[in-house]
Amino acid sequence: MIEAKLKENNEGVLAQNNQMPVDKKAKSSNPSKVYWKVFKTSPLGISGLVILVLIIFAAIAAPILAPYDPLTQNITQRVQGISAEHWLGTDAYGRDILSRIIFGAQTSLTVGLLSVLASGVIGTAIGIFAGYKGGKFDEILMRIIESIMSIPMLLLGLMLLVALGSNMTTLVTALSIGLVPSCARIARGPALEIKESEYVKAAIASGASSFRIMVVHILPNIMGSLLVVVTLNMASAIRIEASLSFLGIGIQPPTPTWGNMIKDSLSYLTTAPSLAIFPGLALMITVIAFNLIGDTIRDASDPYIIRKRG
Amino acid sequence: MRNKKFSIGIVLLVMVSMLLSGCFSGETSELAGNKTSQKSSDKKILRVSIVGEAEKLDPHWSATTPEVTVISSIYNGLVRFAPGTTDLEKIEPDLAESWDSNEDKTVWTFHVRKGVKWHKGYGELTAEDVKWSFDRVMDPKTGSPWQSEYSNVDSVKTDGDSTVIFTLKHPDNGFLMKVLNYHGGNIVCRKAIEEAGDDHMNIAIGTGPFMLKEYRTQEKVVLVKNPDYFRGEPKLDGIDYIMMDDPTAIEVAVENGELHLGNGQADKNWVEQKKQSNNFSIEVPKPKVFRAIYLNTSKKPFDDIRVRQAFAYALNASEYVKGYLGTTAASIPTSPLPSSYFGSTEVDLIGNNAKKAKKLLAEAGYPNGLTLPKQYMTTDKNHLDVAIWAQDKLRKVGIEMPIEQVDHATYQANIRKDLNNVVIYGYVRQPYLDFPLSQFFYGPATVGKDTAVTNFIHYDKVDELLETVRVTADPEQQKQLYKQIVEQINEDVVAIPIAEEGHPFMRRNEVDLGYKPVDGAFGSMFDGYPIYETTDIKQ
Repeated sequence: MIEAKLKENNEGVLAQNNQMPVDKKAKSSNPSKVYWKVFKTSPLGISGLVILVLIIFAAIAAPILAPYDPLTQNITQRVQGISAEHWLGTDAYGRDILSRIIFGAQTSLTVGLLSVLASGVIGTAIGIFAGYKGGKFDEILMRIIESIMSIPMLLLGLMLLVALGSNMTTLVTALSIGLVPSCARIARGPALEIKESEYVKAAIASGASSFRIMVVHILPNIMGSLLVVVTLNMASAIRIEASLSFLGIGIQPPTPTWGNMIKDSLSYLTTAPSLAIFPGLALMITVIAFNLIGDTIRDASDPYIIRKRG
Repeated sequence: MRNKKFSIGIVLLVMVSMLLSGCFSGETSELAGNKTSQKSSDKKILRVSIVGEAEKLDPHWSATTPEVTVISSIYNGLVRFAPGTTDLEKIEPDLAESWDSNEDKTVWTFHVRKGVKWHKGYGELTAEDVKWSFDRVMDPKTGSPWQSEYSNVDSVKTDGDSTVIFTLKHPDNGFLMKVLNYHGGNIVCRKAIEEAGDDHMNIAIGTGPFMLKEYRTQEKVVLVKNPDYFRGEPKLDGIDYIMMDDPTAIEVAVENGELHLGNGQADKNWVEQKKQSNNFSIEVPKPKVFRAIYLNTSKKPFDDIRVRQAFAYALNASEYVKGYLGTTAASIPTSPLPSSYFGSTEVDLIGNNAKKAKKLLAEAGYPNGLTLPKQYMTTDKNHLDVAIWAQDKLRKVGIEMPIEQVDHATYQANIRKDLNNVVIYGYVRQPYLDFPLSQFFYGPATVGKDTAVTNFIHYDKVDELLETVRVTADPEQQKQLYKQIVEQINEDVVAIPIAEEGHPFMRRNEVDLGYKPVDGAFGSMFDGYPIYETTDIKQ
């Protein structure tokens, strides 16, 4: 109810500012339009979105887009600069850097997406449950979450990969564990608050089950902030994956990832810096894109900012 | 909103400036480097890079390149190669003043130099020390990896204070190779080692031109000159062996004078570019490092010779050498064993035939190709480059070779635990074929056995021949037998040679080695510059 009111309010403000005719019924049934409106007015958000769409497209269409097979070596054309044949040059084994960056996007996005989804679902469930149930559950779950938080994610990944062997599953598991706390903590706060609200009490009085209250009443209310966290988590997952590959314990060669591309280029830093620069740029741009999107979503779910804008 | 734009702008600015500073760091640190080299100019300390720890400084155990590098200036053998060479014709006296052998080369007598002092007040070297040192290596209880090299020695006796007599079970023309200042031939100090007990790996009491002063884990090994060295006081005041494993860092350090000698990169482009430097020269040690891929015949799928042949046919060593290492420093292998040792012979190697490889795989029961279990692989570039290159070639004939990178020490340990099917290994040995053969292709040297050395492939088919050649006196006959052995090994496709690599090293212009590299190459029994009492830093 509060949420609905809030939205109505926001839309009112937006509508007033933009002086557009408002079809309230249609709008309130589709909250994503609110985000879209904020995105439209934010050049940074839009550019983040555009970059992301391009990267996702590149990752999906990699086999078509990439000019060469990312694994095929051509030892006669090693460490070459930018040319018409190889737009971003070739690496130490004569592999096309552009193709490797495009295929590297697949790895980065897959690892990011899987770990963010897993951590999002688990973290949110833990958070809502802890917040709604309160008491001992809350205490125990939150202490566990805090203990996970105390371990730096890179270290957690390092330990798990060394212990369980380097593969995609371990990598995703490690990242998911590392990302669970952020989602859990974001979910718990509002859950604590909302369970005290009138409409939840009313729902309880009318015999709604705890599960129904958590899913139907609490979850929708935290979607906005959750979306922000998930987007930012995506950025850190990609970053940590690259760091682990850089250390040589993430995804193993010859599979291209931006991290291991940078690692391979290390011994050529003085002779051919482009080997490191391009995958580095790809990584940087992607992480920035996710951050920009995350920021914009945050703005969109913050009525204060929306009101100020325009 | 404006605030955020501003902050993003700053972030971008910082990133760009970091990138730029990365590009130009070479120049800025050059200034800093000049300052430090000025500061330390009152003492002549030679700073040399080593890649990794040098933990075992007892020469009867020292095996890794950093270890062998460090001990090379601490210990002496009975004989040595003339500085700057590894020429069998140029073996000269070291701790032995002279030597002779009987007609059939079964009794070797060495006259030990008088007045040679052990480091740090451990007294004078005697024939008894020499005897004890060899007895120690030969004693199975000691557990030295070089024990098997002396299986032909029947007894070591002393005659007076300065004569040592080796009696051999069978004639051995190459016996001088075994009393060289290398591996088990280094003479250690009985008194010091007995005093040290369990600490024997760390004391390093020898007779050489430099003495161990300090070992700083993960940092450096500090040697100081031995003023009582029997060939005269060293010109250098000391040597700092600095542990560095990042090739770029080493290069920058040599460029700006923080290092005098440093490891370069076995890469064609790198060599070509760095040859232009005004600050240092690029030189390679001889004999070259012989690198090959060893296939474990005790495990599936390489117990089947057809799979081994397919593996060999998938690869093409000459492509790797020409395209990757460059023929300036490296050469294309001509046999599964080094090409410049006594007994070396050329054989017809197989390779570079993907069609045949696929056909052989199909015959062996893998018509759709096969996937090997995960192979441990070191992050050391010289190995890893071969692995990644081979991965692509193998993939094309249907062999998938997934790898898992581990640090170099773990890799070295794992391959000795028999955990790999495919082992990539490079070595330099005494230039006598018996050494690599006994270590890599001799049954008792199989990994996992008590007498294990580096027979990763569980190979024992040339044991008899090898034992025969060891007791053969006639050099010509020996050569014939070695030829037979090498041909057998080649036929069995257990070792696929990849390259004879000359690992480039950087030497700053002010360093006078005390010997002159010839055509950009210097003789060394390990992967690095040997440093003598005559080595100097010119001001």
